[in-house]
Amino acid sequence: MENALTVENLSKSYQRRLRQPGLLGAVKGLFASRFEEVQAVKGLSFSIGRGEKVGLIGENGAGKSTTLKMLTGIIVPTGGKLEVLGHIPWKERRQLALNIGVVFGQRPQLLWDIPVEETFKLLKTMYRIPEDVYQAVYGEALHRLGLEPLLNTPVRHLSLGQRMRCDLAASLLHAPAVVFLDEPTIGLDLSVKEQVRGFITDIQAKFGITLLITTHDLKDITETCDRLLLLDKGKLLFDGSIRAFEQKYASDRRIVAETHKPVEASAAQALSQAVGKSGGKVIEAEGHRVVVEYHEEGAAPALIHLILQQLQVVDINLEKTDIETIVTRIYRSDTAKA
Amino acid sequence: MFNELKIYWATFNASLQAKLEYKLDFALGLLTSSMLQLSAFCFLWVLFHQTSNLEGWNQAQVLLLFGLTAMALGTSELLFNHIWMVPYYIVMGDLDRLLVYPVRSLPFLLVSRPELHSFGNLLTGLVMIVVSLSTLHMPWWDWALVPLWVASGGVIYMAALVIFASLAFKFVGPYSYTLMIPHTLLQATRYPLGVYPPWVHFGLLLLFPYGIFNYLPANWVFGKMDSPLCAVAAPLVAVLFAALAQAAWNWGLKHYQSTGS
Repeated sequence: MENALTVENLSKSYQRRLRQPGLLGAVKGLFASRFEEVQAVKGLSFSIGRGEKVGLIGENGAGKSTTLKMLTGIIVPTGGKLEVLGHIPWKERRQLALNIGVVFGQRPQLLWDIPVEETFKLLKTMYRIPEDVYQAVYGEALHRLGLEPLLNTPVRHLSLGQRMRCDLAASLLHAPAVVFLDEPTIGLDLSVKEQVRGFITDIQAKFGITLLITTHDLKDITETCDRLLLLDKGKLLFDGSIRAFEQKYASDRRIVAETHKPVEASAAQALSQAVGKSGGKVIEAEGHRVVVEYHEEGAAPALIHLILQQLQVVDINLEKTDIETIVTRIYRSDTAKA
Repeated sequence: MFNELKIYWATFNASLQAKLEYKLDFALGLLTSSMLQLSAFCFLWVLFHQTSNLEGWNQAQVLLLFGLTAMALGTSELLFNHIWMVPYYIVMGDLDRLLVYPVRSLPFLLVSRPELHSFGNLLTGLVMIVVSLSTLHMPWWDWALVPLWVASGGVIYMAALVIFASLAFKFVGPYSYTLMIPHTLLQATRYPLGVYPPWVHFGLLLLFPYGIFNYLPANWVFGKMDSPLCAVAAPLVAVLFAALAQAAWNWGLKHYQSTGS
């Protein structure tokens, strides 16, 4: 597969002004400022093939946005190599911009004063979008994102959700080869989130777009992406499929059974011995509830069989740790270490 | 190149149309800027009540300096006023959105927020120029030089603002008032430069070359200086200064840090 973008040993550090407390400190700062160097991204390497759908996650300050801004040519890296669609972003920003689409959920992109429809027309001129491509995306966007009633409104009068939908449409109008979405669903209500994800998925499939999404809402990723990059303090902690991610970090699965009568201690002990041989472990047996934990994929049928044999069960459920819990766990263990 | 100009024109056009939707804003802007010009003129009028000439310049002659300066200011405000927002954009990280478009960021930024009160400056400036020059009996081709001086002035002033705004990339902080320096100095060139001490006089010809588009042409028109260079230096300096502004901007962009997320 041809690569859409390659990043090699990429790093970025900032100079951050150190503030002294109080008004006196601020006045002193006018004359002599002290700086501290902040490493936002440290030696990042990965590549993304054409048409891949990749989610980039990480805690606040992990370096997601900084990485995205380097990939789009907005800021200049401190070190390392990067190439997007054969261009070095910060050197060939304009040529690259013709072939990529960018949305910053936190920041409006469209020109403030101009009505939405005028902006779209302007973009058509700017990107030299062929009529058929324009009509295809524009039509789809109007329909799927419900933009019709917004067309005559100046951008600054739009609500966050409306603006986000317009921004998204605007960034996709020229059917770019690579699309970068930085928190595309931030602050949106659930139905708009669904709308946005659905539109992204469809347009991606239609034009074979390469997608890189950063987000804190993991549903954005599970619903639109196949691959996951986990950034932590400017370094790559995980790179692989979402399935591989779950297998690596969420090997614990559970069977939760609800019994007809409260479970007696002797019954619990008997069950514990039985499931132990099949790779399970009773981690809870209280009142009407029994929880068996296991790790091996495919162990479930045998374990369920054993539970049904030994107990009078009224309900049984399989639980898998969801991706959100896994990620929270990773962040937390990380903070504990730090 | 042609295609790019088309994009900038379309951007300016759409932005101006959007601004003109606000009719009250337009009327107030027109009124305020005209009043500002008129109050400056009143001061001039009082001044000439006390003395009949200012370093050898009579009132009608000084009026040409006033007019050229007002029209250059108006031109720059109409076409390039967005530059005033740059220090603020840099601090807020709001320049990101300009940098994702496939166009040169500087001209695109400049033309995307026209200022309506510019029309007041353009209008009063025009009246002053016409009143001043009608005292002479100039051939028509001399009149044709006036738009050239005004346009050059607009570009030179814009370039000075861009250079000062570019400094904000590196020195992010409470420095947005630095743009007032080129602005205030422009207002100073409404008077014959001879009234100032020599270092100010030459500063306004060489460092901030505003004198090139108002003082030198006025000297030439009123026969105080003979060299035709006085009449045509303005566009040359404008091109040079614009290139310098672009270089300053490019230097600034390399230091752009944006902000977190």
